[in-house]
Amino acid sequence: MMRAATLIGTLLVTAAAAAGSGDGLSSTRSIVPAPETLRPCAVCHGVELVGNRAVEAPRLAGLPAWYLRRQLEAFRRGWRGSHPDDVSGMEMRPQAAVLTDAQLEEAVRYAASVPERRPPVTVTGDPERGRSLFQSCSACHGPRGEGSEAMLAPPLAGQNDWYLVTQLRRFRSGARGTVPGDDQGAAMRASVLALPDEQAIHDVVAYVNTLTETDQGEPEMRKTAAAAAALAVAFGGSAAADVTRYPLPGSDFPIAQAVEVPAGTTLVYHSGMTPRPANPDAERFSAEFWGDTEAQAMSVFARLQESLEAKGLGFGDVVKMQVFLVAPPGEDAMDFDGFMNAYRKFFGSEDQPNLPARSAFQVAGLAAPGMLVEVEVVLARPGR
Amino acid sequence: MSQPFSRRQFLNMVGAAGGSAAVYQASLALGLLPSAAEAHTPRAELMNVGQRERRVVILGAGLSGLVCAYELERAGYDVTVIEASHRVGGRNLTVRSGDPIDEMGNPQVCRFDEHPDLYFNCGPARIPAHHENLLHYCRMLDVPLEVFVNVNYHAWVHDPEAFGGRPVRMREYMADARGFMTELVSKAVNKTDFDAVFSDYDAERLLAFLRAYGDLDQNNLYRGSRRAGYLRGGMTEPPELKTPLDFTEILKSSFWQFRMHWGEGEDQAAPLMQAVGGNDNIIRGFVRNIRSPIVTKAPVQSIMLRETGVDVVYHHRGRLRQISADYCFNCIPKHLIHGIRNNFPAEYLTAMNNVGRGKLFKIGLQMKERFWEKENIYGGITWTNQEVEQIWYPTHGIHGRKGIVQGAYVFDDATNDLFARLSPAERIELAIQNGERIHPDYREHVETGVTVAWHRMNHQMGCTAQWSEEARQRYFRTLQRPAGRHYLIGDQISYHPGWQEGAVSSAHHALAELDRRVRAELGSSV
Repeated sequence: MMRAATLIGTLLVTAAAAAGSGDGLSSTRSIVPAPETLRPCAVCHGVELVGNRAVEAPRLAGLPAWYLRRQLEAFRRGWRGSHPDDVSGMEMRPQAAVLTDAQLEEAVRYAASVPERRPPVTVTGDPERGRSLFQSCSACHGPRGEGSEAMLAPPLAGQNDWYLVTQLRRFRSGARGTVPGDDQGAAMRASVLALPDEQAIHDVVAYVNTLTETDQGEPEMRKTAAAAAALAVAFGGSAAADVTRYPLPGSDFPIAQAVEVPAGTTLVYHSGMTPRPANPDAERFSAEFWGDTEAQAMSVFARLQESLEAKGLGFGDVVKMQVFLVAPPGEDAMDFDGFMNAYRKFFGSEDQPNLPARSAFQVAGLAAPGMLVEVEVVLARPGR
Repeated sequence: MSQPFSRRQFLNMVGAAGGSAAVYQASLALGLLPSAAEAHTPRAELMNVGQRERRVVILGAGLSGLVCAYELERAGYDVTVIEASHRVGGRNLTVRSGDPIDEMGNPQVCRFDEHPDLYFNCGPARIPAHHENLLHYCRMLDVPLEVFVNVNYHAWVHDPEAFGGRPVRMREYMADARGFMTELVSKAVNKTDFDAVFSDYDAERLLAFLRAYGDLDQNNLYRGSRRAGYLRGGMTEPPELKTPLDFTEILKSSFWQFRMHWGEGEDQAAPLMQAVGGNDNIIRGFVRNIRSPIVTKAPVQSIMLRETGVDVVYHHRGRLRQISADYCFNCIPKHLIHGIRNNFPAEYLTAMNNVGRGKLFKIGLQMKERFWEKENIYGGITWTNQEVEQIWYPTHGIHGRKGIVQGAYVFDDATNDLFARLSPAERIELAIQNGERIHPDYREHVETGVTVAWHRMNHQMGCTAQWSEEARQRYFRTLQRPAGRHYLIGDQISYHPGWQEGAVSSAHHALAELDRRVRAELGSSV
């Protein structure tokens, strides 16, 4: 029966023909096929769950587990897919309902295991206009559309742009976010109603498209770079870049007076990082929700550490830092000491002596009410 | 010559000048008579490639894929068929006792009794007499056919908005509608100054025509017709005509909008046929006669065009496998191809994107008794403008104990969406509620049912390909032509989506193109 087939195990598919596919699927890379029980998912969401516009099935690959779980649950509860105008949601709903919990977890694992790919750009809008509209989105979805579990806000960057448009339209029309019990959907609908018109939807999605393109590069390459960096760590450790750190004269304050970076060094500019809520069950945006300055700073550094490690970097590679602090509720001045308590745990210790050039500012406010700390860093990638 | 010519005047002049042969040719030119050429699509006659091995991979074991496999292996090609589903046949699906229905999110099992007549054709259910390519294979593959009753004048016309919601017999509706219309026209003939157009002779003939067509009396009035069926009598007692229906009610009903003439359409006109024992016997006929491997449960992961062939990767029994073929024939639904990794040219993908994904819903109900036969209904279709749209009565198994009634046939998108979002039990309940308004004891007869939403079926997710006029103009040829060595086939690449003949014809078209190419590549000396 199999005479014509070649068994190849992990397979490298070569795209020899010159033709470009335009749908982001034609690259040269091995395929991670869906497990047997998840084949129905791949029928609509496509091989490796990359998304298929023709059946309105979005990309699932690379989406965080918490979000996938939550959405499958939303379909099961009828928060999604019960409004007559949400036709594709209606198509998904019974499928979510027949998944067992074990299959759901398998689906979540599989989606996370396949490499992300950048979907093709299909939406035309004005990204400049979208940038200003996006400011309110960024409070929950993050400044780079990276998403936030704390805010229950999914990543937007890298999602199929046509899907974002469809969903924004549905929130706007009430086909999503109007089912009793779907509080998160209702909150999203309230935000979407601030978008004045259809054009605004296209503009904001056009801006989200730029977040993938300019900041993350070819996503397929992203993991490769991270993997290469991880390999570099494994074979000989994180040899710090050949930078010169000038100490503060006559002071043991843990920052550098200046840091000199030689030509040829790869620089990495990291976005400002904000904290996760200390207590997500507390009243949203309250002092208890976020925690004090020190707790927020600890959270910021913990998040930053995760992000840097994923890129094969560490705090020892930071050459420049900017710190933005808001005065705690009822106070006039920022809690600088509280911030420093957290900072000292990551900079100037025996384990991590490398100090960055740094500035700290008190600002009137950050993206979400009650946020007190945001930290932005520039790093020099260690030589290979 | 100040007056415009009528077509008849013109033909009379041609006849006077050139005799009847000239009239015949002129009629052909005017499109008044069918030409022999347009009624025939030449079947593929492929050059045998013999020892010069050509390898073909066929994606999808739907009808068009099977036609290609059957023809190509007979012409010496090395053929492999790859099918994602657990079964072959695509949308040619007949379910019987114990068969699974693989709807996404609504898996069902058919609970009909085990009996040769108790089956339900979920997909194609009728074969028109002019679908000669399909009929050719039925003949070749020894698939017995029987007549299928499509239009039945005894069946019901039902509209909650007309006749007080009471169903009327189709024969009654049509006879009365035609009677009233012809009576109206006859009054116009008498009143209008027809001399400019018709001679007295013509006018007389026209009135005679109207009397015959509408069953008018000698005064050109409609007073009811035997065509509507007798109210009583007619055998041993004198026949009594029915009182004609109220013409305003006839107009109020939506039946005349397209349903009344539907049975005169090219693909719907009698006689039609079905395969004895279920239309999947056509698929079985192909499978019996194909020696090449048909690999099921093998979803395709990637289709990569190369200069000299096509590489296909599929997943089977836990492993990825690759076939490198010289040519690829692909009947995977075009809307699912986007989810498969590929390197198709951009214009090919754009073209696929511009063909819509249709929706279609059917219900099959097992009835514990053939109650419709007691209403003088043997086969055919009742029309209602409730959600279910149609109720079909089985042509086969007449006077048997039980039968499978098709309780819904839905083709408008909104109603298809409505049924899709209901559970199978809710769908059947809605169909019963609709049916009760036509057959009062409908509910008592329903024993079990299956529901088939083709737009939700695994591996299909649509029925049928929706081509707008613009898409036809701009994209049809793009998809009909091969992309490299890859041929897209199926009813989706035909002017007959939703018909098996469309699938067969599309396969023949692609095979003919392949044959031309292979003859050029190998030379005709083989």
